Amino acid sequence: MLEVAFVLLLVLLVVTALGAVLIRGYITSIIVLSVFSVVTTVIFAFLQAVDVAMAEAVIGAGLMTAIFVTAVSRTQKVRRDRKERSL
Amino acid sequence: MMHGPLLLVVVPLATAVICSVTSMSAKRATPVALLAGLLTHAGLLVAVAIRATRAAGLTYLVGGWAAPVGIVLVVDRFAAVFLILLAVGEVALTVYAIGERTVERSGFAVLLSLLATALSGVIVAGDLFNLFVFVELASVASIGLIALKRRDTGAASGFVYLVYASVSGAFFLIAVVVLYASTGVLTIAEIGAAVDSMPRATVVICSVCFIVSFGVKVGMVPLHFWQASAYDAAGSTAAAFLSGVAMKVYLYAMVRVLWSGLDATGRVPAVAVVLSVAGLLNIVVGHLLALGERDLKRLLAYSSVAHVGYILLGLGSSAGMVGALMHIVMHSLMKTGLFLSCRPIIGHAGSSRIGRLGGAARAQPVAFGAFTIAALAIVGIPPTGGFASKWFVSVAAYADYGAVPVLVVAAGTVISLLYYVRVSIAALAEAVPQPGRVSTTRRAGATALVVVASIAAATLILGPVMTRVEPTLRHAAESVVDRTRYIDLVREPPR
Amino acid sequence: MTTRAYAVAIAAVAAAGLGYVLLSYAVTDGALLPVAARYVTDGVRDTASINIVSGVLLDYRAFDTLGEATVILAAVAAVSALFSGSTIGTDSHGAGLLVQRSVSYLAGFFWLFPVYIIANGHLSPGGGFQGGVSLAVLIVLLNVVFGTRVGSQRIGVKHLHWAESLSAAAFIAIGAVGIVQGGGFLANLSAGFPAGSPGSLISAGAIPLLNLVIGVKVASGLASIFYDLISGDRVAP
Repeated sequence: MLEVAFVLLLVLLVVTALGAVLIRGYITSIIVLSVFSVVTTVIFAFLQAVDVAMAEAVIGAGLMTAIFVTAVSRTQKVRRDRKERSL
Repeated sequence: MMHGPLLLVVVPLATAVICSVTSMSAKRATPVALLAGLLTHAGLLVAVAIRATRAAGLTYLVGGWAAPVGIVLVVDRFAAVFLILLAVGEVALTVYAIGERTVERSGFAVLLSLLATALSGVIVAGDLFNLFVFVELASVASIGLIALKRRDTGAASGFVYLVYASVSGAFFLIAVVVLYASTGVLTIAEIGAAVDSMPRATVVICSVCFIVSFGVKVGMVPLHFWQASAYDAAGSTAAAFLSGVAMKVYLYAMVRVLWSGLDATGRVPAVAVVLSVAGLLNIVVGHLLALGERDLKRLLAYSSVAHVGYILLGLGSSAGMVGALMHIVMHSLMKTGLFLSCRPIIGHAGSSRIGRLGGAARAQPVAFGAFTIAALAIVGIPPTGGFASKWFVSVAAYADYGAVPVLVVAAGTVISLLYYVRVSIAALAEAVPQPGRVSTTRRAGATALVVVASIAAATLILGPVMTRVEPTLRHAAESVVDRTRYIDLVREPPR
Repeated sequence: MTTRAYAVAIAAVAAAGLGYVLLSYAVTDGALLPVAARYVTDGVRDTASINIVSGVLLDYRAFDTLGEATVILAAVAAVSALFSGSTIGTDSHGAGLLVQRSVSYLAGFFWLFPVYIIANGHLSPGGGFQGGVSLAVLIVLLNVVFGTRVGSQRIGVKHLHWAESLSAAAFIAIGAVGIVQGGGFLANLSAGFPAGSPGSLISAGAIPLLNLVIGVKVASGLASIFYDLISGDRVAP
């Protein structure tokens, strides 16, 4: 039973990884990436690497998401400003 | 002095911390702190290098844990050569940057001392993962230095380098995982002792990973695309350090893991052939790209690509380690000299386009003179040290691969003569009045000119003196080619 | 299929191949490799930390950890050099009243989590790094919820830079104790740090101290990167 769950997690890992790359729209992509991190966290916990799991959770799902969203929202603002100026 | 190898890492790190404090509270003190810290560091580098050369090696156990359990720092005769290179480059660059006020750019002092920390760490690392940590630190600090000028191109070039560096780091990490899984240790010497019982396929995989990883860092040909734009964006001062010193340290790390760790050329002779072929490719591609380049700093970057080729060719030849080491020393001096002397020239012209350099030779005679001497040396005109190193590499390559590499080296010399002459002619020409030209307010300070002139003098003197330096370099080369010495040094430290 | 899909497909196949090769080398029969076995059998005796991971990271291989912490210092220096001279935009008002109220009631509990992780780094999973990152995330959260003006007034960039520099200095100082006392740089018990009784809060010598220092350093470093990102002459998100 546990093995089935583990394989499912691995499949989910690949799916979210592909999703993060293929999805158009940065914000959606970032959210999928944070899901990827959550799945990785669970896998690490499964493998009894709790310390690594904790690091992955706070960095991948927490901090990285915040930094990516900030970066995207800032660059989009710049792009919008440029467009308005050129009009 | 017992703690010598460790202090090489800790002193510049402390300097970085002090600089980051002074840059917040007392901006004027930053240059003083940087100069004091890095001069102390350079003194330590020289002292440790001399001691390691006399005693045939030094080791340090961090935290008191013996080698495979804890982290060991190792300085053997081969590493000592690079410690000297780092000391020379560091002093020249610090004095130059303070004279030219580059040091006042926000973050420069901190990033420079962190880069010095990282490079010292790479040289003294006796542990594969510790090496990885310091290589990553060097990448991050380099990215900062590249992006520091705060132009859009600088940030973009920094980002491109970041992507390349991540790929490089991933390959390094793969090799570390494979090696740890198959030996259970991370100490390079212990891996070296276990490598004979390792399957050949493991050695092949790890060698390939390490060559790709460091190939990115040194600009091996299909992986060199980041280099020209990075050096162009970085500003001459930082580029001098990145090309003159950092690149040599990456070459050191590659030799250390491939020779001392993996016995790559011994177990898999094809590795030597790959290195030689990559070297020839670098020579051809680098020189041709430089010949077609119209921008002085990008030209120098492509010339670096070509000269990595000579070093790789030396590494790939069975008796070429001495020649490679000699070329590493010479190129470090020459390239530092070229980048530092081109700054006043470019500053006068207001542009790094070669076509616009007219009048620069007359306005900056000292810088131009130093540039010419360094250029003659890098082309390989006989009395200079550049000739000696190329000669040693060519002789070693001829013994293994026949006449073809020698012909390539000769052709490369002719091509490089062509493009350096082109630069000189452009700089010697009368200034063409240009309407949109930036006025030449920036004059090179006396300090900078003294630094540039002394580097040029060193390149001149090292030519005739090379016969005296050669035995030292030969000992250094032997200490890495004969891998048992390194392994014994770590396993049974001389006490 | 677009070119991007092709590129992804190729990359995925390459990664899968690489992963297979790696696994075929990395998978062992479950027996611990020699150095790892040493860590497991002697770890508690050598480091007095019952969380062996902390023992490895902050005692056996503390020098690596110093290097990793320095990487963050370098990243902060690089990012802040890129953004130097720009200030934080103050027009972000944060979330609605309801969210602000509830977060302000819960904030105390939010702080407890990273503090617990850092303080118990030598006893249970976690440590300075994980706790430090969650502290940084908390600072981000305060800025998002209460707006960047309130957030950056409470915890300013200057404070963060000072905290980072001082904690880096403290890391080196703790290491230097080993030089003075004998045992070598970053030595723990052999430098005379008290072992305590393994399992209690005050134990494992320098490891809790290093956890604290790393926690402050990581938190201030990462939070100041976030501040650099939201600063600039343009308005913040």
